[in-house]
Amino acid sequence: MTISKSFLLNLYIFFRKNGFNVKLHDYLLLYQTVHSNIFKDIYKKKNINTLKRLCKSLWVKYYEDEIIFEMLFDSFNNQKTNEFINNENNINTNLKNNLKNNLESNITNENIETIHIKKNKKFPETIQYSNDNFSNEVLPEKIHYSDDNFFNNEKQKPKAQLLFSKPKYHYSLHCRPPDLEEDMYFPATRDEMRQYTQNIKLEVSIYNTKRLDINNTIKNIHDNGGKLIKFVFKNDFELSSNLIFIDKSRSMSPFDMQSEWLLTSLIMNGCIIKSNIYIFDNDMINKLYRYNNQSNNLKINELISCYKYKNNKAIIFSDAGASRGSLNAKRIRNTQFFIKQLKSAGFSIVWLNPLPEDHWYIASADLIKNYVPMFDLSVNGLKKAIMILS
Amino acid sequence: MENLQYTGKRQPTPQEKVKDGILPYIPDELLIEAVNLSIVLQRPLLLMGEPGCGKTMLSHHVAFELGLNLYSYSVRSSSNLNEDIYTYDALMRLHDAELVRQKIKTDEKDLKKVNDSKNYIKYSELGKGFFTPQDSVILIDEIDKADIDFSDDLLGMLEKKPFYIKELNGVKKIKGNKIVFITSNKEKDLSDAFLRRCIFHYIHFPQNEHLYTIMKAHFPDVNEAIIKIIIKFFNKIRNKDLEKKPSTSEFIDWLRVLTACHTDDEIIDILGNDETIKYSGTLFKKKNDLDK
Repeated sequence: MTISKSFLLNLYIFFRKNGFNVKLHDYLLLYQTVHSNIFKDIYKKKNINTLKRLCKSLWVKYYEDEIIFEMLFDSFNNQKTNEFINNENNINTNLKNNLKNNLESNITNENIETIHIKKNKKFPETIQYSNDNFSNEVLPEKIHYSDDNFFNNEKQKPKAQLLFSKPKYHYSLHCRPPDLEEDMYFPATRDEMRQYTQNIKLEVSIYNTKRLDINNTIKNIHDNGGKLIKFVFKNDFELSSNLIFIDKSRSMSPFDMQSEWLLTSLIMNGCIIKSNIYIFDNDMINKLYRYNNQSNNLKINELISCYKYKNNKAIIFSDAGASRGSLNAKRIRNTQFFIKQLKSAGFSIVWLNPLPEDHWYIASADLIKNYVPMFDLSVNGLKKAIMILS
Repeated sequence: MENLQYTGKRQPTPQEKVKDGILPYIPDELLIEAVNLSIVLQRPLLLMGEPGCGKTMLSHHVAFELGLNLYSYSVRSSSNLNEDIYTYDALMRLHDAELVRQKIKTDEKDLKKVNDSKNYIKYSELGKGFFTPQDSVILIDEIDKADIDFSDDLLGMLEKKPFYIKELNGVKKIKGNKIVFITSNKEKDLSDAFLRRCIFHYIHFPQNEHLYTIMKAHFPDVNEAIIKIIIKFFNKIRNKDLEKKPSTSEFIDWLRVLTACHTDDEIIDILGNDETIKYSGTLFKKKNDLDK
């Protein structure tokens, strides 16, 4: 038995048309293997069964694809073997050369969509594929290439469809189950799904998973086809009587580690059991961000309006302009307003400054310390701060 | 490489079993074809299958049959390709340099050693496997444990591209033919780029006849009829609704215990007792399965 080139090519096209994840290099590898001694050496005999086994080894990359492969191959084989095998002249020689050249030149591209089959290439009368008439149930007897830009035009690209009557177990795979309604179908192939899953895993690892509203996120992915994943967060803002404000402006970047250490030690030692932590960058009045969710900001007024009872505590961790060593009138005014707001809501406030006290001289910190108890970040400073808060 | 062909027929003698720790391995026809395809096409063979189906053992057997060295590397969750290919012993180099400076080591060869950073590079099993000039079998076990970056970093090595070593400020070429086996338990998906370069094979649970051959190879002294009865009984267990079905390796363990501790008649009595399965701890690994 000889296996014609056209047989392999049509096999490849058939698999692609049915949404099987087989790429150009897979076809080329099969082509090279079949037409070399390798096939004979390993499989001893050249027949349709050994070809199927070889094809399976080279094309199947997932366990789940094995079932699809078997069904597709059998389906193709049953109807087309007689037409293709031993019929070297089925496909116009020009087409073969043209396609082969394209395949070779695009071998690194891994993208069948880049192959452009020119208009003047004739297709055999007996082999005709029609995108429109491609039935879900059975193969059409006559298949023809109706489009000149067969794979080139995105709109005309054939949709992934199965040819089987009962493909109920294919939901998670590449192919669209034909018995499902259009709007019921999740509009993503399995490859896309895998990519989205990886993106989601990455995002979930960044965000606090407890806050992620899984159901609404999935609904959002479903509505948008997963292409624009918008994470939905639960509106589970739990108001705590302890607030920590951390300055993340540029002058505070050398103290990032200290702020982390401060938070850890305060929480670990039970000084602050439950706290809402906010960060700000210069504008502490209008732009406060939740520590673990920086997508939305809120104003100090909005925050304070939630507090109706007294006995609240607030810690502010900032250099109060001491790093720059200059006075900033706007900053002082803003801070004054900020502290006033907090005090009006019944907050006991302490300010922890990562810079030692002798650096506060002739800086905004020197004035701000008059409105709020300010301590440097030392053991003594922390003790005093805790004493005030407790 | 064309001369290398895996048949799966050579089994270890009792002496080899003791000396090399090689166990009998009976691959099916499809697996043999996949291995040979991997050898000829020089592509790694990606093996998947339920735990205990013999993914790792295959590489041992291929190395044994073909008479090649096996370099085995177990992937960890923290695996990083560069760190796992080689390590550079900067501390030892500093130590040697200090000894030379203080003239404690005065030989010229010591000076030469200190001046050449190559002498302080130690290759791991994975590095040795790739860089040895001889043909070799490399096993990369449980690749899905590591981050997806690890498998993607491995692509260059699998395509035999030279590996850059920054301490040498140069590249190390991969010589010789490599038969690479990669196993995965499918805990994480692998990238398409990685899969493209692999031959994939899923090791299914063997059919009765194949299972019989495997058991006969492992237990040549056990009565054939007893093996057949046990296989029948084992299939009955596997057909139950279990969280984790016992695989071939668990079956071998169970059979080993049964045949070591009981006579044939006792085994038949044990199998006849439907209420309790003796030595069920070797078969079932989940509490719910044990209770069933």
